[in-house]
Amino acid sequence: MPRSNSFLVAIPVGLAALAASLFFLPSYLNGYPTAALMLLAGGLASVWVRRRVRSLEAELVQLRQTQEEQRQSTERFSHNLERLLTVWLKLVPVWNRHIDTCREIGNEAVQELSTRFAELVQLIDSSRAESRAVQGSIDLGDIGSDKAHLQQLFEEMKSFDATTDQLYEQINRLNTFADDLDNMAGAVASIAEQTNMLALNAAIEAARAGEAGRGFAVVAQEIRELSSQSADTGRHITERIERLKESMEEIGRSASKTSEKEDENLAESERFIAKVVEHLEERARRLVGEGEQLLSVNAEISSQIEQVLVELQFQDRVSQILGQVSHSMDSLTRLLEVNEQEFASGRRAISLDVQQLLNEMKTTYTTVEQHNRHEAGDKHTEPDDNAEAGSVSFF
Amino acid sequence: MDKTIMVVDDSASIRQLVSIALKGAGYKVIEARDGLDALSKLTGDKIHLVICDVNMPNMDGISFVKELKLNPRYKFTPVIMLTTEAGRDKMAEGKAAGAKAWVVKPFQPAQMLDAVAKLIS
Repeated sequence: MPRSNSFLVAIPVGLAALAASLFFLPSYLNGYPTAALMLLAGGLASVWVRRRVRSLEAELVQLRQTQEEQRQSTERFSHNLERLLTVWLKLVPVWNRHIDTCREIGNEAVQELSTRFAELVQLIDSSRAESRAVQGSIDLGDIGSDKAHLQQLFEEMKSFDATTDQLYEQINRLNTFADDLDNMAGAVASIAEQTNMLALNAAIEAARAGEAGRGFAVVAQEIRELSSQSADTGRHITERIERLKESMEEIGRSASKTSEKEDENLAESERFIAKVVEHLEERARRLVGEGEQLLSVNAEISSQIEQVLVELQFQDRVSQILGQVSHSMDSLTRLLEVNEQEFASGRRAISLDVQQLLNEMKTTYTTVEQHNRHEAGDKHTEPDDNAEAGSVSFF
Repeated sequence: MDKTIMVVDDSASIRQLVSIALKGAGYKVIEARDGLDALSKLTGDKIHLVICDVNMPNMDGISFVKELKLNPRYKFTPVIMLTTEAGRDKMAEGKAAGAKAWVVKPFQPAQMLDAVAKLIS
């Protein structure tokens, strides 16, 4: 029991004891002893009362001191509260402006990044389309077709070579004809010689016939001259044929050498062109391979950049969360401004329902993260009434 | 003929991400930065689908969808809500306004393209 309360109880008890001794004891004790006892009781009661009064006075002083301290404390609290309100009302708008600045900077930077990445994706897509077009124009089948054309050309050249061989055969056959002509020229010379012998015999016989054979002798002489001219013609033919044969043999030798050289050149050209075509094929294959690899790398880069764009979605959420914080601080500031005016005018005390404020704040959340982080600590459980991030719901 | 899709979002980076994905899939894209801007771009031309954010300045996504559904030309145009909002109550609002699907950000373009393909075909 507190001390002040014990005093309050002790005073009436003491007075009651004194009264009891005054009223009841005289009926049992008569005379002086009774008066002495009454005086003693009264003295004790007086001493006890004085002590109690002093004690009560001391407690009263202490109570007044406590009350003064409490008053001063309340004044200090009130003053501090006013200062705190002032600080809040002055600082929050500044914080809000800073938050807005952060949002603007973040939004602008992410928008700029996003634009750059989008342009990169477009450039890569365009480059891939061009590469595909180039790849399409490099057709190994076309090279195969060109190779076939070259082969056909070689076959035609070989057939031309065969035609040249046929020409040489014709020339050789002409040599045979020249031999025949040579034989025929020999036959002409032989006939001319026999004719000459016959004409000589005819002349002898004509001379033996005398005057009667004179005309025959003239004929025999003409035949001898004719045979002589035939023999000359035969010799000339033989000479010409000989020259012709020599020329044709020379042509044959020359043609043979040309043919051999052509064969060598043809074979060499075939080997060279085959090597060139093979080299071209190899380069084309390598080019196609490198092009495909480049396309694959481009596709991978494009995919990575698109993933970066996906990751940049964080800014949208961050902006919304900061926006909600800013809005919430604004609301609280407006509420405190009204309360401050009411408080300053002394109409009523500041009244804020913290739970109501928290509940209202929850209604303004737009992201899963805000709901997750609303409670103290680091809760990562999805509220039952929220869909998961990245989920797709059809109605 | 290329199908046309309207993308409504106040975040330029989200509009770009969605546009890249849609253009890559062969769609034509019309972009709008909020509900009012989107309404001004409804010129009567055929729009096969709308992808719309919820929280936007000037006019929010739910209000825009309601306005869209009042236009006889676009009454049956399917709408996908693409938003950070994940609350079932908000989803119910979107459904009541006339949306056909609800995609919660952050999203993967492939998921969105699947949803588009399901609604547009």
